[in-house]
Amino acid sequence: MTQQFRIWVLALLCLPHISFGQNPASTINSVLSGRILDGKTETPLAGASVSIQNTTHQVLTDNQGRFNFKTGQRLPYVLVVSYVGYKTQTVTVQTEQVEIRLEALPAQLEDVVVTGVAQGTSRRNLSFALTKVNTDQLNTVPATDATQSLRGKVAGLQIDQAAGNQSATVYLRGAKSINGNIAPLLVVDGYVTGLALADINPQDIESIEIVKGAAASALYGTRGEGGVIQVITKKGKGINKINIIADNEYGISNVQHTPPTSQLHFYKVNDDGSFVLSSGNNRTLDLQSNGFSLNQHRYIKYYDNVNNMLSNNAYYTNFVSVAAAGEKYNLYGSFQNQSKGGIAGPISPDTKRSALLNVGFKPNKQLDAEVTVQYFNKNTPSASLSSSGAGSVLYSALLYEPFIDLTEKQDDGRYAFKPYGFDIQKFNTGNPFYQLSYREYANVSNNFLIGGRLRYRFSPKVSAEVYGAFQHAYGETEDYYPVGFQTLTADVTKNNGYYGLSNEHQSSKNGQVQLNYNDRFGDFEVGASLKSVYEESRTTGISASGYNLSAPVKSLGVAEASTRATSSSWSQLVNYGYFINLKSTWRNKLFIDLLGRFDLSSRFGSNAAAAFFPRASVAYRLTEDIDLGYITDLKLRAAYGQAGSLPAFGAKESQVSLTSSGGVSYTRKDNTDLTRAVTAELELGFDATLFNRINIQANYATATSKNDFILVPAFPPTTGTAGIWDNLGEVKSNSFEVEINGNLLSRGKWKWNAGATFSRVRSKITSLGDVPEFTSGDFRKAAGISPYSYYGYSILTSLSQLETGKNGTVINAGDGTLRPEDFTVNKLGIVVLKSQEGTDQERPVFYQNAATGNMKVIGDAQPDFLVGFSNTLSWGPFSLYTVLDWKHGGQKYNETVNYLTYQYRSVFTDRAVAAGLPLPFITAVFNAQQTTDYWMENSGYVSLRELSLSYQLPVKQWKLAGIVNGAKLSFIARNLYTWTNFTGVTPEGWDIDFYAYPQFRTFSGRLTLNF
Amino acid sequence: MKKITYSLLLVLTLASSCKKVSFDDPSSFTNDEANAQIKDLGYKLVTSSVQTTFNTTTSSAGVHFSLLADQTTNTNGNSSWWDFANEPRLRLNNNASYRGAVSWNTFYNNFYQANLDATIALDLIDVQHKKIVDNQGNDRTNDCEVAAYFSKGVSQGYLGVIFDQGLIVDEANLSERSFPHSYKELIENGLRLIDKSIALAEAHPGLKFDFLSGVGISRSEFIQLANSLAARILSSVARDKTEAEALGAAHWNRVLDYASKGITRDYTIPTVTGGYYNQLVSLLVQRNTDGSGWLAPDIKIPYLADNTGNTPNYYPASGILPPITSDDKRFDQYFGYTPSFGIMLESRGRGLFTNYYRIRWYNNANTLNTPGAINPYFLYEEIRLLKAEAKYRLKDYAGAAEELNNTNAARIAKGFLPPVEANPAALLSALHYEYAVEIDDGGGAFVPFTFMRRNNLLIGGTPTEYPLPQLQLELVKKEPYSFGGKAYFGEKGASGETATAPNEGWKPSL
Repeated sequence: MTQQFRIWVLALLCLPHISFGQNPASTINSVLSGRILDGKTETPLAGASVSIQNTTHQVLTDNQGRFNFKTGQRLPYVLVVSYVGYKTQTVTVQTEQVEIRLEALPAQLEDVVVTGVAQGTSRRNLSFALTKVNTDQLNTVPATDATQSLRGKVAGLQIDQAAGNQSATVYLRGAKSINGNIAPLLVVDGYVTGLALADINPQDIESIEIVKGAAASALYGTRGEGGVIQVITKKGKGINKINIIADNEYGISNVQHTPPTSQLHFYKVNDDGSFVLSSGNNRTLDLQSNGFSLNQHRYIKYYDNVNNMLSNNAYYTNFVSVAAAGEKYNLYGSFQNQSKGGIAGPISPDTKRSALLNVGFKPNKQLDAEVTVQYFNKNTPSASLSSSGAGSVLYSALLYEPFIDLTEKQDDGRYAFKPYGFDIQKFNTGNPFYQLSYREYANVSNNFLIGGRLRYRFSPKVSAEVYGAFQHAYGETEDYYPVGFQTLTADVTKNNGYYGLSNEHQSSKNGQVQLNYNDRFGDFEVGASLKSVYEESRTTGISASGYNLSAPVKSLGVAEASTRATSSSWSQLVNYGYFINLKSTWRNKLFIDLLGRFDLSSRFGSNAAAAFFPRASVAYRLTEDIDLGYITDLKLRAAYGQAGSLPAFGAKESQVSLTSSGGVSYTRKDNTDLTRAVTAELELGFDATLFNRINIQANYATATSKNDFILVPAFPPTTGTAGIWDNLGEVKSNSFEVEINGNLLSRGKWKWNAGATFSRVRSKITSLGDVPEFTSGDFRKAAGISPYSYYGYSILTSLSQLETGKNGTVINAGDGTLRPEDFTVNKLGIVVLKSQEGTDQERPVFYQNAATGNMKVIGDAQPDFLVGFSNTLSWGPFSLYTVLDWKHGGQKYNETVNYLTYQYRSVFTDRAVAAGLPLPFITAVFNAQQTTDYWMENSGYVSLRELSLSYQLPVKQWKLAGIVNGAKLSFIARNLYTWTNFTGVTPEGWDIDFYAYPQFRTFSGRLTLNF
Repeated sequence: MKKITYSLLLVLTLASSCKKVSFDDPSSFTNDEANAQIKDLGYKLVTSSVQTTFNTTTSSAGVHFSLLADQTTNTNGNSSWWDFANEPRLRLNNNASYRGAVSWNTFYNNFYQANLDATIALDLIDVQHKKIVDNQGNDRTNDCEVAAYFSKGVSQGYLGVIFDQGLIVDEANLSERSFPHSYKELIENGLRLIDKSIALAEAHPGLKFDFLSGVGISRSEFIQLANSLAARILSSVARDKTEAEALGAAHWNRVLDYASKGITRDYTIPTVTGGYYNQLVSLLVQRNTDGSGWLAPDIKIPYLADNTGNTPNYYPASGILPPITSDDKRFDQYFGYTPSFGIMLESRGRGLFTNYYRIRWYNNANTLNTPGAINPYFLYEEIRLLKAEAKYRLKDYAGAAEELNNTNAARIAKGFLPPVEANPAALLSALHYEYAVEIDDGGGAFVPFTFMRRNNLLIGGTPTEYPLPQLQLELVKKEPYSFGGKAYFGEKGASGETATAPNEGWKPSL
């Protein structure tokens, strides 16, 4: 891993020397000097590339746009002049003095962003940090879902995919809550709806804009605390042209990584290597003469259940899009069909279909209208998998000893319910193949969005906008166990048939009305916007199930009446937001933005329904006043803002639940003062451009999150077990981010675009109010520690961990009477008692502290820093694209390997047995699967996320230009390889590792045709 | 003008479809809505209280007491069971994040909740003088009053039996946050409430006790059951033999009196869908796929029943023990033998192994949570044992022997065992045996554990009671404390009681 990183760093460091260096000519036949200017503004372009065609000779312009050339070539010759954001020009020069004007590319003239701002704003004029990821970065290797699209491309953004069959979670900057991150608000084409990032087809995305913290996201008020991600879908472009893209990709998926397991056993064997079995199919430990060390043996039959179960499966995507535009309209339509083969044969592929239609209409200069219709359909059979038990994949494949063949078939050709050996290992979990091939499961969802936007310009200075969107999702889950389904022990809910059906409707409405005023007063440009936002969402669900089926049909009508169970759910959210935004620009170098948002929300107590969120930001473009040489643009920024988040539905209210058995339960107390959790953030940073071709953004943000939502522990004697939600707690975060990207090389056929991101985020709980410290899952919540602090038991691995009291006895281990010299470190690096070492009593020494139940903070899941690299290296028609994602540090509890030790299936077991340690030593280190520092592992990784080699097919040479405008063939690998020392299922994610659906990689071929 | 009009119309149209930020959740009640709209709220409160009480007296959290009493063995980390089976005994880990905390948390949360629900219902009746009706509109005030006092009494009594201290809550609006009451005070107040419930039931001939789903309890059955539970609770005050003896004749006469008014036959409850089932027994009879027990009987049981004396009190380091032979004909009816060790792990102590599983109360569904399953709630034999023990404490050894040697006694009628001699040692031994074999998992959450603690039969180092949950101590700003462990034989608690068993148990501590 380290070696790979070094190569990358070296490559980046060497780059300037490669790209900007000049080769001295051996003979000078001509001297050429000149200037490169912007064709429109006549401003000099610094850092433009000037080379002689078909030679390697290249120079860059200086800060005044000037260059000098000494060459062995004789005049006239052809110059190639290129510059980021401008059309490359080929010019034949006749004289030794030239002045060349470049024409800016349309898209670069005004890189307008729409996130965190009331009106579309040039990115150059922003006074807070924003990252924009464009379609090239997103779609060179289209992610299998959009949550993966941003890997390695945005500083301060962490993407964790904890299970291979789930979308990833995306978080921005640090923790906003004692429970960790708050999910960013997703905005799609300006609409806040119930869509998730994973719903959206990456191939339909024109760009993604990210504002990372409250300093910018105050515009989104109550829902902006976690930052904002806005997806802008594609629109029709060009004039009177129809562009059709047909894109097909086919390949395979397979598992990237599985935890290593024990290869040996330690039971007595017969001469033929088979187990010596007593009555009851008990195996006997093969003890050595000392009575506790064990002899190790290889299995005479070894079935690789992991690889047998986790096989190659098909992956394909079919995509077609049509784009057209005229003077008064634009249109974009697309359809995608995706199938992701599961990693285990009996699981049907997860499928996804999406369709998008964007229509824009501009009948005159005053009015323009846009309509978007988006549809998504998903079927996710892999959701039936559990992380443990008979419905799992990895759990069983890893935990069953390899003398058991999980692919064994019964006489009827079906997978064996109990393959040979089940009663020998006595591991109480059914064969997952049996369940996966018998159980019928479907998880289908349909989701659509209809949005419309109308903008009217009353005058050049005054305009109004109206937005409206409606989104509706319907999800349905069906689960069926046929009559006769077997379980290891009787299960009345399954053996005689089970049928369950549940569905959920989720709908959201979003309306926005906005009035804009823009004007110029001397050197000042001013803008003001007034906006009102309405958001509404509602979720209803119903679930029904029954068992003891009288007929083999999927109907609750055949379920025994007394076994039928139903439940329903309902929730609703209503938010109103009103804001005013004032902005001003002075001489294109000073930018001021002021914002105030007033929110009303249904989620808060009657005394706290309203809240105000301010924002103020300022930026100054230093390079307008000072010549900084190769730093062609430098803008300094400072921004402050506040944004909030919502508690769970109903948190403000008391709740009384009626039980199905006729009782009543007070499940929650009310809090009419429950108010918003609010993060206040100060963001300082700069945007710089070097040589007019390399962009750098750096940010430092410090945030304080207050009024976190905490379910205050109940005092059952007088309040019962009903909890109360209150605003308590405070978390502080500091973030440092750097993003660098640009065109690093443009030389003949060679081009290299590269980007790098770096971020380091530290978060700390600074207060819990008057709530005592507590543990949530595996994490401790206490003032002064990270919100991601693992809390558990500790096995000492160094004598330096021993603490002594006044009388010299060890106070944090042993029985309180021992001295440090009574301890030693054994062969496995674990502290043991000297008196026990080498005996059957040898055991690990645990940290002891009666006041904490022998537990303490044993790790922090926060990574030290995150780095991403993206590179596109082109040579003529060939293009190599890579994205590397690096997480340094951060710990994760490897409960997967810990639990393997329970069944002696971990590599640790082999090591401990080989070292002659008694079996109880292994069990003690296993520590009954309780969170223990011995099983904490560094979860850092370097991952080659995206790799593609593309070839632009020579359609003109093949005389196919009449049929296709372009064709590209790509070979793609996603999630190709991860370098990590973490030995669990995946180093991703900050929560425990426990037999999640494994990460898989895909290899595919892709043909993209442009018509 | 047109443009402005159209714009305004558009905005107004959009605005008209907007909802208010204040709206009612139609799917649930707030407290105020419940008070105003649930006509039978008092009845439902009592229903919840009674159901919680019944469920918790036979909660799966009782597995831990069964393990501590060596009635059950286990090497599994589930709910930290292994820690409770392990020998030598471990000190209780009272940390909120400890997996075994499910045991004390369940008893603490559920019994205090049941007490509070019943207290609120009684506040409606006794303080607000409201009539309580059921969902048919029938006046159920008297029924609810009886049931509420019963639930409160049993809950407070159980809290006193299980925890070393607590808070007596008999007012609906009590805001105190402290634990000023000793286990003795909790038990005494619990019995006062049960007495009140019995008195009310006796004065209410038309008592209808229909608070358990699908189960009707007659007035006479209820009175017997309340007396039985009172006898069980009162007998379980003492934390060691000395305390049991010091309670004196009045105490044991009171136990005898309650027991004498107790049930006259096994009180069992058939499972109905969504209704009561005995979680504890359901777990203790559950089997692994190879037929071995999941929470199998401890070796103590065959050790006590073996007529050859060959069964050791720890499972041997090698080999497989053969089935025992016993004079007790019940043994093979209650327990089955398998050479398989099931899921037990040798590395966690072979001494904890067993070859037995439970047959009694088992059904083919492998759970009692299936319609028609029979759940033992209170066995008549426990009443017999309580009477016998009370007489033994009162030094009426002949009377005690007479109870045990009754022709209807299970040890005689089913076990065909010889009569017990009327001497203290034989009586105590027989009582221990009967609790182990006959009562076993049928005594609810803490029997036979409490019999063993008051007779110093628990293995040395076994905690005799639970400390309060650490999180609750932190809420009242009290230092955490704990009990149990090999280094704490005979440790005393806050009231001077024995909180950790001395090393005088049925077998010596390792």
